[in-house]
Amino acid sequence: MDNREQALAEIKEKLKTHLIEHLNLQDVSADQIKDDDPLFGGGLGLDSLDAVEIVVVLQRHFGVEIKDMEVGRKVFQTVNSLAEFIYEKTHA
Amino acid sequence: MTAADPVSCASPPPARPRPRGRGNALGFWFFRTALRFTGLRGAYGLLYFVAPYYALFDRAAIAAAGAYLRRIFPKQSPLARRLATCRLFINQGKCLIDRGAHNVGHVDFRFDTAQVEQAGAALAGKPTGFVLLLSHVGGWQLALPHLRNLTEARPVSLLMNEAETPDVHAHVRGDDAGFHVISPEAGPACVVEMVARLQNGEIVSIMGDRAYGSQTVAVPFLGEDARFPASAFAVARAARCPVLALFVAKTGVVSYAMEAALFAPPAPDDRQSTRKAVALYAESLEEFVRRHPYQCFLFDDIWGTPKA
Repeated sequence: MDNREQALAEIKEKLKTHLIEHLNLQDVSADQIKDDDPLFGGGLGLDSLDAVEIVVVLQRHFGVEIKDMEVGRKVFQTVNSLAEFIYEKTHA
Repeated sequence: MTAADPVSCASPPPARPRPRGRGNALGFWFFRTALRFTGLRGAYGLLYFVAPYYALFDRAAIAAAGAYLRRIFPKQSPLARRLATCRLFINQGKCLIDRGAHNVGHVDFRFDTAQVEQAGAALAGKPTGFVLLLSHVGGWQLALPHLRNLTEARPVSLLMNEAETPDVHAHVRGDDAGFHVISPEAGPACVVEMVARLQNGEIVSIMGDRAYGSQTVAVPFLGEDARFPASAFAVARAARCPVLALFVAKTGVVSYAMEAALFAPPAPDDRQSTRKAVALYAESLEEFVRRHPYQCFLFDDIWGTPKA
């Protein structure tokens, strides 16, 4: 595993933990959240208020902000896309 | 796998049917003609023939108004309630006529904006924008064109579902209205857009008293728990910006008073802060409607259980 993959794996793990805590996902462990499951409209079944919470998680725990709606549309898809975005922002 | 949200209702919001429009082309023509040839008072006069019809025979309209009237006037007799329904419809009609008159430039309305200017001064120079919270009271739609003069030329975006509010959408799109419309149908992306715009110092306007299918929180309003949308304060919490609630009271035939209530950003580290902020907004709204009980056009049973 190279450095990028290792960093991404760590981000995903941390991200899942924060999502469970902040979104109050009951009876869900980090292992049960698949990296490529859709976050909205299926998968985790999140809604727009949860999207607000994810914005807060990204700001508070990863120090990153999404300022563009188109970027947001791409990033708010899966844990993978969120982690990629965080990695790009924090390792630029 | 469920997302149990301590802030919002656990149940998913019900899909709302598109609201049924009232009146027809001929009816609107009468109002436009009366407005043109007899001015506001003549057009208002027609309402005294039309509103009693709806207050007596339109069961959906009577039920929609009744949810509010039962709470604001709990001791009313059935006859008094029917008269109150009629009065409420007449007042709503006057505000709609005013909007039409304002759009075509027939009448110069006077707006007392002292309170809003005071609140605007408190927000001046802040790097973040603010959420502008509107409510279905008085001439709220007439307030929109004035926002550009009261907000240091900050861009204003309106969160608006075109399918739910086609007339308002046409109104803010018309002429040089100059508002950017954010559609909630964009899902999570619209949240990102709202937060980004607020953090860039812009203003995002959201209706505070009707959920339009979004998630709600139950807070006390007129003596019982009522469901208010949580989105405005949730977005303000994410953007760490204040919320300015605007209430527009009709105070005379051509005069309105714009009242304002400013709320600090909900604490970002406390998700319950959203609920607390919504409760404070509901308190302000209650205080307004108790002073202007016939200017609350919240024709939605926000106290009832959501239909599945």
